[in-house]
Amino acid sequence: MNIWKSVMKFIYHFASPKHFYRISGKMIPWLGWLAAILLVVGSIDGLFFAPVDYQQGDSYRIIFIHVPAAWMSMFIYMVMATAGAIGLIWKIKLADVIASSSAPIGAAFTFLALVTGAIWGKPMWGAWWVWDARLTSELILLFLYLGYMALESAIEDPRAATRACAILAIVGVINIPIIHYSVEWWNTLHQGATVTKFDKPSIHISMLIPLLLMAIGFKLYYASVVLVRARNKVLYNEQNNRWVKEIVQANA
Amino acid sequence: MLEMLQMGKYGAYVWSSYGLAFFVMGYVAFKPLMDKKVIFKELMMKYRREIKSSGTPSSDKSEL
Amino acid sequence: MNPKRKNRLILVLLILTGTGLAVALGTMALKENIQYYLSPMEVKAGKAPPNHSFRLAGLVGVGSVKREKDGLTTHFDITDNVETITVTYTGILPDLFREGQGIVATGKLTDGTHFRAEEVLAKHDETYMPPPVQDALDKAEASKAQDKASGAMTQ
Repeated sequence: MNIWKSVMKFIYHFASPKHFYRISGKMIPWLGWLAAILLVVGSIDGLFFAPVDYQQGDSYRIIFIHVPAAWMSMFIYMVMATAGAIGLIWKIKLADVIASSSAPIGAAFTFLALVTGAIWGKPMWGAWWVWDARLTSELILLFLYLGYMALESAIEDPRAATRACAILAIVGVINIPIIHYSVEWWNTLHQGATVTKFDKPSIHISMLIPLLLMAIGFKLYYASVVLVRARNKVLYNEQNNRWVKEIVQANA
Repeated sequence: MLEMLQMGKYGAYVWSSYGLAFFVMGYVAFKPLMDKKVIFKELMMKYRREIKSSGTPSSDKSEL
Repeated sequence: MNPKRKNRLILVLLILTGTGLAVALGTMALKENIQYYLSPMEVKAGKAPPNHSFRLAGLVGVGSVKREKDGLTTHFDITDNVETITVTYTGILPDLFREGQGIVATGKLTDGTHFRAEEVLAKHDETYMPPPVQDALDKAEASKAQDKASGAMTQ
């Protein structure tokens, strides 16, 4: 019980706007630069050092953008829904801020996954787009993100907006397993899982390494960007508090 | 070297994917950094106005 | 109406339209996938809708691809290793189109065993490998690889 108490104490302490602002400010440069390094190294490895694919030739190199972007589109949605639920239940304002800061980043990754998929699909499948279960459910994910952002700006009362958005995010979680298992549940033109299956990955190690480098790079990128966005919101929301005044005036 | 950039016959597809990702992710990363400057400026002006308008500190200590 | 409320109303309507559209498209996709993916065996069994477009899925028959002189029209077999349908297609084939590859063709039956395709899409499996490794694997377990290729289509 003591451990639980101290964990909760730590969470509330970290989640207080002032401490969040201070600690996240220290974390962002590390996360950001590490993300940049991984993305550069991963891209160069994927573009120039990974071997060509036995079937798809060089076109498969789109995988190093497409797959991490698609993973992030789902991961960020889960973060958004979880943070929304925490905000709804425990009234931790920082959770609401994280949720709403995540939405545009998640939407951007969903958009990237869809567009790079289309660019890849044209030469390989022979079509930019097909209405199969995987592509359709990913498109619904984009609508969920856009709906979340529209709802947030449509409701004037911030508390009501936060509640409505959290509920939308939680309800939309149902789409995440649908996206993941769509390639198993239905006949899709889209391939089945290469890496995220119980079997060992069906991808050669020389191609798996840049893929994982990019995947970690995308995660760190999200972490740094979401913190920058959350800090902006915290600063704005807490503008009438003394600590914000001190920070702003110190930076003038 | 040129051959490497051509990516077989898929250069246009591969490079447009990476280019798009670069621009979208770059925009998403730098937009909030720009916003931060705007917020600092806006708050700075607000605080100056408050000091000018009255010697008393702002009345609303609302917690949003 | 006050402009703020109007804005809000428009946004809510937009959300509703978006969600509705997404659900409609989703249902459409499910229906298509459940109803319109037929294998050559199912076509031979008479499950194909007469005079109606449907999707035929299977492997391109080995040694069956014949190209006409115009360079655009191609004849080939689609097989599920049990039954075979002969397909005619005019147009550019996807780069992955090759003998033994899993494909999905959209079109109509012209008679019991002939299919006129309007669109041919290639399906690839989830395996990514450099060519030499693949060659070695193919030689080592040629039979196993064949099972996997046909397995990929039926899943």
